[in-house]
Amino acid sequence: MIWLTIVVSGLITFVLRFFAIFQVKNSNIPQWLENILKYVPTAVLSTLIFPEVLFNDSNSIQLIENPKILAASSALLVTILTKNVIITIITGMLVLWILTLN
Amino acid sequence: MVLNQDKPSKRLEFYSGVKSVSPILIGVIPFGLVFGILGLESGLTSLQTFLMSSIIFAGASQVAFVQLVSNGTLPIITIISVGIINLRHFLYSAALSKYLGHLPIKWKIPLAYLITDEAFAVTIKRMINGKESIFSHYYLLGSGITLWLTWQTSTLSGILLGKTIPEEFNLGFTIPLVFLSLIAPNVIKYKSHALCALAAGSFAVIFHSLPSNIWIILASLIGLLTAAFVNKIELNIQKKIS
Repeated sequence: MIWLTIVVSGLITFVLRFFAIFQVKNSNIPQWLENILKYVPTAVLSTLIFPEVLFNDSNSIQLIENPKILAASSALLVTILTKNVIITIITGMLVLWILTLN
Repeated sequence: MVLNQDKPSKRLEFYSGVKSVSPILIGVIPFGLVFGILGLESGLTSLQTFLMSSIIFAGASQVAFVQLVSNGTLPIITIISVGIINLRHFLYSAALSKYLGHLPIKWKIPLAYLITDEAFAVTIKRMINGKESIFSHYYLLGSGITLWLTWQTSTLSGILLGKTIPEEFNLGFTIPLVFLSLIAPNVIKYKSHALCALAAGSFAVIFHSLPSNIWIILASLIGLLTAAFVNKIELNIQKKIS
């Protein structure tokens, strides 16, 4: 099942890349659609970020004494300052490790 | 004679493409490493993790894929999520069609496959600002192949590395960190992106207990609707001012 999921995901991704190029003429996407598509990564990735940070291991929301919130906030600050993926990941992980040490 | 003159300009375009993405590789390599490590951690086999990098070949969606699989998400929801994340490639493809549309199908297939955020960014710049040339597609070929090889080797390194890292390190948390660094530039710069992120994120939390992880699709759509709404208001304000 995993293999099928990977292959179908790959096919869809390829079709998305290929579809517009396939047309010989200059493909014109309507302006409103182009505007919306720009927000897709922001929308989907935020959807995946929030629960991952705010929920604890027993899958209930935890806003107080949640080390992941502080770790993610530090990472956000660092990514604003440095725009560097590696430093962002290292900062976030270090803060998480320090806070969960006991 | 014509053939002899063609060769250097093909090569020149190809190597310009390679050169243009070289500085970007510093960002691609750790991303690939993280993906390789996470693939194993989510329960995929080494082979599945490794081949996903060539079958899907789109970083953010691959990381989302392994996160969803490790949460026990239904395959159909995973597939739709990957599709939504990669919708932007359609935009890239449309933008490049002006410059690649005339090529025969045997060129279009590999070139389409090589379209990624990074390859698109450098290629569209070359197409718009660079000299017109019948070999300009070699630029996308050069940048695309470079990115592809880097992505495959860094995935493989991540897989090998991942086998040595114990589970207590909570490496799964690198997923939201990677995503955070991907969306941060837009979210900080544009109010519409910030509101889109807040809306999508909040509704992801609210809908989180819905069955079969349908919240991923619902919350993403709410984020997009919010963005569309904010966009419309901003456009109206602009119109009134001008």
